[in-house]
Amino acid sequence: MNHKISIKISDKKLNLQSCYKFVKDDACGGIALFVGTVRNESYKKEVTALNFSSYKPMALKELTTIAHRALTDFDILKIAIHHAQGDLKVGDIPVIIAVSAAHREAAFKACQFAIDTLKQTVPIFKKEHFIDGEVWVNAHP
Amino acid sequence: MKLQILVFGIFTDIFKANKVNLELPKPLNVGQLRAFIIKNYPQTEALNFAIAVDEAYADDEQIIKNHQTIALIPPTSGG
Repeated sequence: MNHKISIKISDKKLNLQSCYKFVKDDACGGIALFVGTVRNESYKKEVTALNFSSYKPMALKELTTIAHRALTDFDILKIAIHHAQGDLKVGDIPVIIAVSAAHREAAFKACQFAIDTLKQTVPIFKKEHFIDGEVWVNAHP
Repeated sequence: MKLQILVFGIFTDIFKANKVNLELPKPLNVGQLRAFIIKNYPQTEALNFAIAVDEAYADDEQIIKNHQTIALIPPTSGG
């Protein structure tokens, strides 16, 4: 199943083209892409910088679990989930999810499942910096 | 039992480190470890954190053994 899954947590800039190329397949009728981008505002304040850190060995395992579940639960061909870590600025790409499938519905659903589950379970942590302080996102209920 | 615990996210600010060494009674389960941490570091109580054993989320009933890798996981915010 490994040739159907591409998982990465990278200190370098993510590459949209490589995710697209990985999932592209002659048997697929469509590719769904989710590209997360750093926005310039949070908590109604201007974001000046942002940092992602991870518990990398566990995060890679959790991402792999998500990819396997997507392949089991949806009629898809291939899935790539790449996440960035380190310092990012406004407009940078923290996450890319690419899914190929014979039909669009499965691709869209699997892509949504992957990003929603990633946010809930994968040990990656975002710290947002503002002019007047900083906050660990989601840390306090 | 001496435990070295990996910490992430907001815990790195609370402990001012990426690891913390604790001396704990044995046998110990995950729920007891959680209670120990909240008692000794009251600012962690509101965080609703998970505990991982050997890089997998653990239930409170799971027994912690020597040489396992333990980590405190605050609410995640990837994506």
